[in-house]
Amino acid sequence: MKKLYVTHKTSYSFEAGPLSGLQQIKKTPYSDSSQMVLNWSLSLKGAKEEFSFIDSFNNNVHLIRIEPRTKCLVIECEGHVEVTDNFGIRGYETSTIPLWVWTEQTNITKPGSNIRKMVKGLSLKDNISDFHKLMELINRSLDFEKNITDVKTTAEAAVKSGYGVCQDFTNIFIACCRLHGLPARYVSGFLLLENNQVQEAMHAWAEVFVEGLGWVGFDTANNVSPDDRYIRVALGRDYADAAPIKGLTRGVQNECLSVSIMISEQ
Amino acid sequence: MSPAFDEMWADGSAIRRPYQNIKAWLDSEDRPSLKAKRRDANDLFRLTGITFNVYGSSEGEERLIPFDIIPRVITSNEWNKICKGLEQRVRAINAFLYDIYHSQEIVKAGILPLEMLKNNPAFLLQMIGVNPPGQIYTHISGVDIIRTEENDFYVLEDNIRTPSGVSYMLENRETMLQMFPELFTKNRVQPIQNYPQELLNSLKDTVPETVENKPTVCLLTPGLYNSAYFEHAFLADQMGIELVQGNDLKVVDGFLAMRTTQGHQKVDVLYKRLDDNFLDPLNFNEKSSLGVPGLFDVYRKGRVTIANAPGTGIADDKAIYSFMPEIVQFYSGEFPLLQNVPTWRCAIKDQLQYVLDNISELVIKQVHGSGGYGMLIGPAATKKDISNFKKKLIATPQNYIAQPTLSLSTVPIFTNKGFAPRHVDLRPFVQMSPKKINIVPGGLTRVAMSKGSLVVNSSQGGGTKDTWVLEN
Repeated sequence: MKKLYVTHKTSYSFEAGPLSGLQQIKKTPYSDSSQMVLNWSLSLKGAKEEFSFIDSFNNNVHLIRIEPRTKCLVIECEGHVEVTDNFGIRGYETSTIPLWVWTEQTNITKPGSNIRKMVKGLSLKDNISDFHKLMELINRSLDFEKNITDVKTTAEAAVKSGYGVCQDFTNIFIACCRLHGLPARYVSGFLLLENNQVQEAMHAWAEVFVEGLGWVGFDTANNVSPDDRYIRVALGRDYADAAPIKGLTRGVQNECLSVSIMISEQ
Repeated sequence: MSPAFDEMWADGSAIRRPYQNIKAWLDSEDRPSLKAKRRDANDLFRLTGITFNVYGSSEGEERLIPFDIIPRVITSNEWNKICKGLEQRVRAINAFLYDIYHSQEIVKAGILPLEMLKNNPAFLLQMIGVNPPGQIYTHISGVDIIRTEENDFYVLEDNIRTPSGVSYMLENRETMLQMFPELFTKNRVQPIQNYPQELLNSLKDTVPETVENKPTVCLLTPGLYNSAYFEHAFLADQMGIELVQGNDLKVVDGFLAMRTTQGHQKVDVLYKRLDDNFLDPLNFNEKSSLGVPGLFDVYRKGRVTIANAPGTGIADDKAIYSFMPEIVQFYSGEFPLLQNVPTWRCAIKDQLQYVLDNISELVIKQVHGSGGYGMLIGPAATKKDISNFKKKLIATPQNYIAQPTLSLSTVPIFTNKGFAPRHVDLRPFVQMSPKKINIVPGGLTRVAMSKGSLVVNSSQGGGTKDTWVLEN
């Protein structure tokens, strides 16, 4: 068990700020069987909170309105979370989302010939070792490289390019599970790294539903199952559902974005 | 196909009782004066501005919906039976919507196959777990009913996502009252003019629990270019509420608000006449400029009522329709009082084969279509139409259902050559609130204006009639 301290700061600077803008923020973790949120706060500069709510996937969402023509927008979170090592097994949960929803491909996960070719001959059933093989296969097939793919890159396109970041590795893993009719989902969250280095983005990994175990996590980018270094924040069918910030702005000019995340063990 | 049941003449031997007064009236009027009155009636419609935009026509023309002056008559006994069936059906549909957006017991019970929800664009994932104020999804339903015999009524389809046509019902009555006031002293016809006020009251009864003061209701329209814009403006006016477009609304201080000359005013109930996909660009189609960013979040938070609830389209999906008898039975625990038209689901292999083999006797409809667009009426189709349609069926069978060509009942219309029978259907309007179900007596009678035609849709040249439900 680890007690982790997280700070997460997203700053925008604008040459001309938006005339109007709304954002859904998914940066607040929730307590469950493997993690306990001891305290958490969200503070805003250049925006105000309309309200917060829990969405269909049980994610905590804050709806914020950006102050018109602001030059600077800062969304800052910090808090302590206690995490238990469950060897990646999250287990069963009471959810209003029926399992079949997680078996349906989305625009991002929809596989094409490259994904089919990659998993050809691989058996995927309810066997944990099959998923470890899949994770290894994807991890080997792509090089971790920033700035080649972006948040809209499909799983298929990422496989074709041979490069990706954590969300690409995750989308591909999900695509392959669903190709075999298995429920799989996208998790966005925080990961404690060695020597507490500053991170520029939230992490992502996948969960697949295995009969007899429930949901089991696979961090394909790092080729491991999540342990007590991982804090779950939001989940969804793919990146788009779980994205830390989803916004709609009008009239923005020359936006400059920087993210800094620090995670340390207390 | 057997000859259609005529609501005035039945088997032709004697006039049916409910139409005796109508017959006497028509006999007493001379043709030229009836013709003159028909012309006056149509002028009235043009003056009021009741027109209809036809999609897909090159000029985007505005058309006047033909109005026929001979009323369609329903006895109070017939009506009471229909009402019981409607109430049962609408309650079941509302319960069905709650269920499929929560625990999906109907799927677990093996009554509705999961395939009906999977990949169905009408199933709105974002509605899962949302609790609409008062647990009401179907504030207004328009249920299309056809009659084939003296005692045989069938539901042809349910209109749940955005039922329309009620303005024609109201204007038809208004016109008849103006043109033929004497008819309403000689016949005891149940009034319908309270519909807008009753709808307003019904919507106010579904406000979020947090609303303490007098609730504010407004009507959200996609705008002038929508085919039903006239109806939106007409209803807002009749209900005494604001007619608004997306850019008149905004999320302000955590609530939905509309812009007024005195600043922002909180909105408690939104009567939306806009497709779900366009409702909120932050949560649905991001390219929509017709909607309100964040509206769905306010709804999820329980701070505004949306009528009808988002996601209700799944209940009038034509593939779901074929399960309606089972749905009614599952939620009401009773045998369905209104019959469904037998329906073949082309998604199922054996049923597709039957449809292909018998296509010339069937009506084929798109699962997600409405307004009579993209359908095939087998008996009226050319060989070329049929062979083209077969190709579509084979390519995307899941997009189609088929039904027998039912013989819709006829009611006479007044043509230039005299009285002639034409096929009709009936769209009653059902209002639902946590307090009660309210059904306006009658509804909209749509009539196919050309001889032998079974297509009553206004978008396909159909007309309308005043619909009378007689007092007991």
